[in-house]
Amino acid sequence: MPEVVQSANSEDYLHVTLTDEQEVLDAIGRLRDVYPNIMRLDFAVRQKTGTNQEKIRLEEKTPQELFAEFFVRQNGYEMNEAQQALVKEIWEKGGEEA
Amino acid sequence: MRPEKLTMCAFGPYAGKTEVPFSDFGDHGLYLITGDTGAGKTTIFDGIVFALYGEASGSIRTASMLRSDFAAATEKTYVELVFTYRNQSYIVTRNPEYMRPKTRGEGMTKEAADASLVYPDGRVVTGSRQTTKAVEMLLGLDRSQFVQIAMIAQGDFLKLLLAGTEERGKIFRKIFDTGNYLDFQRELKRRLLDTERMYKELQRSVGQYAEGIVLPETEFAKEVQVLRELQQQESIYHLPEIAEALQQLLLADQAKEAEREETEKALEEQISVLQEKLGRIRMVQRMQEEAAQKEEQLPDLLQQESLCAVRQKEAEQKQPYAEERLRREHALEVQLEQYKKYSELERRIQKLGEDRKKYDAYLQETAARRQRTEELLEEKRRLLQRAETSEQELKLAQEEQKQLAERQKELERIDQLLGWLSRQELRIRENEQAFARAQEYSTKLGVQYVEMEAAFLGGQAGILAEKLQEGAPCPVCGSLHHPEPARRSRSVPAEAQLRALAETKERALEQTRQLSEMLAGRRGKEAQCHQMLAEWGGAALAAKLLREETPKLKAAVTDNERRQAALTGQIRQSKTLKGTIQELEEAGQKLIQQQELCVQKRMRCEAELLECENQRTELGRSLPFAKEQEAKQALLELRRQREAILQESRLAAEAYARAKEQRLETSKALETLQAQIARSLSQKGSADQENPEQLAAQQGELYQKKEVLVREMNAGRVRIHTNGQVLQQLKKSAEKLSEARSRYEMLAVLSDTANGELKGKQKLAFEQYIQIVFFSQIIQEANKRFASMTDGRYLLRRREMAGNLSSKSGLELDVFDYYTGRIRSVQSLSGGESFKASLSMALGLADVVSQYAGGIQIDSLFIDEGFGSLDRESLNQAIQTLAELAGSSRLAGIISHVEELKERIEKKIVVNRGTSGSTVSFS
Repeated sequence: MPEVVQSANSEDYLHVTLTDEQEVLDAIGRLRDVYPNIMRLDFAVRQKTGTNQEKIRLEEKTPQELFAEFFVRQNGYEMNEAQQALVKEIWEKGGEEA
Repeated sequence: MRPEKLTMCAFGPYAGKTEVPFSDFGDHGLYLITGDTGAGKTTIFDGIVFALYGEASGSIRTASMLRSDFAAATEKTYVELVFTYRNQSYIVTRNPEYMRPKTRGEGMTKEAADASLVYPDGRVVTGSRQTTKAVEMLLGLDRSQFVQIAMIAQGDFLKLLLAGTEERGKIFRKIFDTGNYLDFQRELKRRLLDTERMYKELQRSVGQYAEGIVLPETEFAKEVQVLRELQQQESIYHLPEIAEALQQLLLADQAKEAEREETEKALEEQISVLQEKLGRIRMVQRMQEEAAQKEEQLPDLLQQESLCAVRQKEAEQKQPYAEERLRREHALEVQLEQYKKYSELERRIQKLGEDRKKYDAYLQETAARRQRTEELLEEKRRLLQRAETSEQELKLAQEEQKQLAERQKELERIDQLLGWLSRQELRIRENEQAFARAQEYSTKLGVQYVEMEAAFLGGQAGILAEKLQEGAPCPVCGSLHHPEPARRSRSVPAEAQLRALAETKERALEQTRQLSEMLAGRRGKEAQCHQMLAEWGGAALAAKLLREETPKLKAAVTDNERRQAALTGQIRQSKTLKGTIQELEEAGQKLIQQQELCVQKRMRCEAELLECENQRTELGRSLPFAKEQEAKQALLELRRQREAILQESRLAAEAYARAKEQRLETSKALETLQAQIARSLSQKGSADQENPEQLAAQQGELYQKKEVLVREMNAGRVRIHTNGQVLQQLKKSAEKLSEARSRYEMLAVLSDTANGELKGKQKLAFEQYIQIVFFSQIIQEANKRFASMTDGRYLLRRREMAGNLSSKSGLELDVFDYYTGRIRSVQSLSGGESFKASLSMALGLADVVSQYAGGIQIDSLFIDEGFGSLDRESLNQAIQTLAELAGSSRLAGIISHVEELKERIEKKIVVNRGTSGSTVSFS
């Protein structure tokens, strides 16, 4: 992108906004090579912060459902009926004790 | 929840009543709580937390330490908070438990913790615990959640930012209550271990069962070989094979058992045939022995019989002796009757002798009694005679009594006269004196009257002269001139006085005359009395007589009375005496009769006695023995001798009969035996040839064979029974084992998944997974603020992968630096950046907590310290961030002593520390 680079005075105090859609490695370092007085760097496209896992809404699910999901995530398959029954029993027992 | 006004009294460093009107700071923006360290900045927040929940914000600031040390003894410690919630106003008041001086008397007393909450509608809840519960219900937050949301405290900043998975996990567990998930994990683990233990126990029991298989030592080599090999190996893995082999063994064993039973039956039959043969041979032998024995006995028995016959004859010859003795016995028995009569006579004689003695004694006694009666009679008669003389004496005494009475009357008369005379004389003397006094008085009055009359008459001239007037004629002289009228004497008596005196004089004269008459009368009576006394020679002699005679007479009277009483007593006695005498005479008569009767009886007795004695002598002469006893003994002796003879004869006869019978029996038995032997021998001609010893040997062999067989059979049965049971147990265990195994497998997957122990996978436990969800949400919320605080340079990220698969991970924090495009640890951030990051995290956490508490909006929050480490630029950004954070709906109180903040923030609460507690000012 030499044309973009040359469109500004390299000694200017700049506020740079990068429009790259991919992550740019060491963006500030490479920019300072050209514009040593760079003041601020912004990104047009923000990095995603987390995976789908974090989107789970805890308050909408029962502990049993949460565990079922967790089980699938960890093992790649669902619990069989006996396991579901056992999980249910333990939670219900715990609920009584609490 | 927005605090409107906080009132603290004697609370923490605030000695007196301190009010903080939060409502004055508006409903949004920043204000600063500043002041020296330790002055009580944080206490303001503590006050709010305490009012709501009864505990301070930090766990160290316990409720009991909340009373101010500066507080006056009488000052009450309490906190009152007015707050709005959903635009409604509430008031909560609370005091901690603390010691205060007693209102009366000395010493301290405990003020109990108390609280109340006033609802907008005026409803009130009281009581410390109830109020706390009501506040929790109202706000939907417990204390730790409230503190987390409403207060971002000094220490929590970095802790939240830099903590590792483990530590952060603990924080989340507390705030989000993820302990349930941990309990769930542990429960699964526990059940897994239980199942494993059970499975191992089953394995062990299978091993034991397999070892319990009983293997035959010699038979079924093939099956045994298989089983033995299987036993060597781990039995559980070859359970089906073992069961199969065991089944085979059992079947073979059972078949063999049936075979053995057959063989045993055959043996039994052989043995019984032999037994019978042997029995017959032995019986003949026994009979022959017996016959020989009897033959031997027979001659002895014959000899015995003849001997007994001789003895019997001898005994019969003694019979006449016995008869002779019997005759003598009869004679003696007759005589024994006579003995009875003899002893009767003796008894009678003795009785009669005793009777005679009794009569003699009675006679003697009667004579004595008669004499006593005579003597008594004599005495009584004498007494009666004396009583008769007493009556004459009584008459004399009565006469004497009359004379004495007359004399007494005479003396009384004298006494009367003398008394009367002396009284008369006394009166005459009095009368004479009275007469003399009256005469004197009368004379004196006569003189007085003459004098008074003269004075009265003399005084008349003066009285007249008083009435004289010049020119008026004098009533006496008629002269008209009165040159010298008589003067009125001062003591001229009045006419009335004169008349009164004349009357008195007359009365005195009259009295004198009366007295004179009375005196003359009395003197006459005195003379009369003297005349009467002249009978006893005058008054003097009479008085003497009276004096001397009176006591004598009295004594005589007393004596007379006593004598009369005695005599009367004697006369009365004489009546009873007469009765007694009659009785005694009758008694004497009776005694005489009795005596006579007794004498007759005694004579009869005597006659009978003589008669009896004669009879006795006669009878005694006719008896052979002196006494009956001797006769009896002689009789017994005779009887004994006779019986001995008879006995001897009887015994001899019996002995003979017995000997004879025995001999006959023996010879008869011998004959029978001989006949039987002959019969047996003729019947079993063939049996004779068989050798009994050979037969016994044959039998012994058969027995041995049978014994071996039975032993084998027993072993076989035990084996079949045991192995059958083992087989059953093994089958049962096999089922249980497969059940346990499938349960274990199922549980293992669950537990490993829940506890993050899956092989070859990330070590992610269930609780952690849940915490990661919270964590990610917090990061998301944090990034919203952190991005703007760092001009979009940084982004917080959860570290996806741990350093290795084996350690717990998932709650670590990294930061993405856009400038470099690299991810690095949050620990590499500078101080200012760290502040921003941790503030963001804290706010993010507060947001997430309030989300999960049902969207609770905390409209007011506090930020405690943490600004000291910021450079100027960072501080600016932080304040800006906070201002933005407060925005249009939140009010944020910053607790700090950093100078620059004081310049930057307008609204301030300044806490000043003083010597007697802190004070608060506002600007």
